Parts: sequence; C-alpha cells; structure tokens
Amino acid sequence: MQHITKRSVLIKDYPFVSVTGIIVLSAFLCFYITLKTDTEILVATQQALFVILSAILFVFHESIIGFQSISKIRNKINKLTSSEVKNQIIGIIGMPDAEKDYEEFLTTIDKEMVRFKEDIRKFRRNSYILYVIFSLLGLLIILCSLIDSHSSIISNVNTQQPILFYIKIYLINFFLFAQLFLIPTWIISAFQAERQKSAMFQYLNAEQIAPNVKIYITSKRSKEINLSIDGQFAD
Amino acid sequence: MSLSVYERDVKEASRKNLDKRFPNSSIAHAKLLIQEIINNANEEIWLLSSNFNLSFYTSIKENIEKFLANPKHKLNVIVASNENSLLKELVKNYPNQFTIKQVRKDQLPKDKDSQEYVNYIVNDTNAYRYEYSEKDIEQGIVEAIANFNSPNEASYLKENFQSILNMAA
Repeated sequence: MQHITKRSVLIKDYPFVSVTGIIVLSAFLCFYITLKTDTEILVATQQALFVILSAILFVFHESIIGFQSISKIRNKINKLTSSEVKNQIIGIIGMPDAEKDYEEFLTTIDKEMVRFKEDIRKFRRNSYILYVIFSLLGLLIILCSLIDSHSSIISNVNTQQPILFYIKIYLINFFLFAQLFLIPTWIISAFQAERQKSAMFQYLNAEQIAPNVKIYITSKRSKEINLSIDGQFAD
Repeated sequence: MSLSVYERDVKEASRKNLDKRFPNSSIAHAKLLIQEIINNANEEIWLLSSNFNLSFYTSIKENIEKFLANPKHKLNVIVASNENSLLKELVKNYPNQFTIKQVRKDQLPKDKDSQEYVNYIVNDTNAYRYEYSEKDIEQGIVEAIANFNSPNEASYLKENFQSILNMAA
C-alpha cells in the first residue's frame, strides 16, 4: 500500500518545481503577449476566474477527498477484518495457518491509512493556500490597474510613457498569467488526488489485496537470518 | 477482552514452545513477542539493540524485573549507546545479572537483505525475535520475525552475539 500512499506526487503536492514553473512561464510570456488591461474588463475577468476556481475547489474537494471518501475507505479497511472477507482472502491465497499472518498484515494497512489521511490533510491545506494566493493575485491585479501610471515623474525619453506604466502592464500580465496557470495546475492536482483515492479503493478489494497478503506472508516465512560480522557477510 | 488470533497463537506457541514463525510489523505485537520471550526464558536472555529505546523498554520493564527477580537469571545486552536511564537503573539494581556491553555503531551487525542495523532478542529455550528493518518506524511499522522454538536460528543469533562481544573486547 505504500506505493499508493507515497509521499510526493508531482503537481498534486505543489512541489517547488510546479510553483517555479508557473512563475517562470508567466514571467516569460509577459514579454510576448499583452493582455487587455482595461480596469472594468480586468475586474470582470477576476470575478469570473474567482468564481470558477471557487466552484472547482469547494464542489470537487468534497467528492475527491472529503469526509465521505475517507469514511468509505475506512469502512473498506474495517471490512477486511470481518470473518467473511478474511476467510475469502485466506481462501484465495491458499496457505496453511495464514490467519495470524493476515492479521499482522492488516496492521501495516492501518498505519498506511494514517499516512493517507495526513496526505489528504496536506492536499486540502495546499488547496486552500492556492485559493488564498489566487485571491491575492486578483487583488494585486485590480490594485495595479487602479494606479495612474501617467503621474510618474520618471518618463521614458523615447515614448514619453512613464517607466511605471511598463512595470504596471508587466505586473498585471504576470499576475493574470499566473492565475490562469494556477487553475489547470489545481485541476491536474485534483485528478491525481482522485486517481490516488481510486487506487486505494481498488487495492482494498479482496481479489486485489490477496496477492499482496500472499507476498507479505511468503516474504516473512522465507526470510533468512543473515548477519554481518565486522561489516562482512559470510558466503 | 477477547484476544486476536495473532495474540492467541503467540501465547500458545510460547506456552507450548512451538516451532512456528510469526511475522511482526506492528510495535504493539513487537511488545507482546518480547514479553513472551522474556517470560518464556529458563535462565538466560541475550538482547542486542542499537539504541535500547527508552519508551519501548520501559513499557516492558515489569517483565524484565520479574525475570531478574530470580538471582540465577541473567540478561545480557549489547547496545551502541548506554545513555539511558533505564539501562543505568537495571545495571544498578541487578549488577550481577544485568550485563551490558557498549559497542560502536559500526560494530553492530547488519541484515544482508535490508542492509540495516538489526535488533534481536533470544533466550535459552530457542525463542527469538529478529528485527531487520525499522525504516518505517515513524509510521509505527517494523519488519521482524519471531519463533518460540527454532534451535538453528537461536543458536545463530547467540553465536553472533558472542562474536560481537569478542570483537569489542
């Protein structure tokens, strides 16, 4: 089960790579593409993006990693301890005296469940942080759009446009691109969380889990004690 | 409270000295196995532990003291670190029965498969618990096996224990 509850999934856990990617791509695109910076259009765009992300975040959060999902996974794990499922799995693996070994195997799943819940907690926390960042970006865009760039005392000699004007345009574009990239990033992240959850459900089916139980029991029964002495192993 | 099948089987194997291998992945069951191995011993126990975890061994202190209450009984320990209040207390209270040898970490044995330092306990009725990986111990999962009557494996562990003592002398 560890292969499912692995700690780090690219994108889903918002590692440094994906965040840096968004920043670098946004910064790069600003040099080539200029978005409309009319204040009314910006405010309308912000509100639309905000509503879209809010809907995605709050509506799909619950279905992907909400209380019901956790509860269902916990119920599946609890069913593994029932006589019916236990006998079914022991019947499938066909090994003698396997009941005690099966019970010990279940203790590993219990621990992995703790790790999975921690993983989900982190995912939810990261999602809310994303939401806050998204909101802040929107606020910055609106604030930038409200700045009157023509009042700057620093002017560009050739175009008579203040330097602040170009900085303002660049920042607005940068924040908008960053927002636009954050939405698909969260969607990919959500799909990865959903895939992880589905893998958990699959794993906890009797037919799926039986081979893993067999591997566990076989590895424990065939384990040889082979120790080093002074850093050397006997041949 | 009814026992689980695992607990029932462990107690039965301990009582009847059965040659039956037990897998061990949970710390709760590790405690059960070690308690039974201590209770099951005739007169002598050998224990190798890299750090002699204070919290864990304090939880079985009663079993250790009950064993050492008989002046003929001995508990021999090899550790990499003896900066531990429980160890000091046992040495002080049972100076002739509780012997401790501190060695360097690199003098401790490693398991060939996991390449990790091991912990084990073995008694004079050929019962042992052999822990060969604790890489997931933060999640409460260990990799260990145990048996209450395996002469070959118990003998191997005792020889290993003596080799380390000889090396560190």
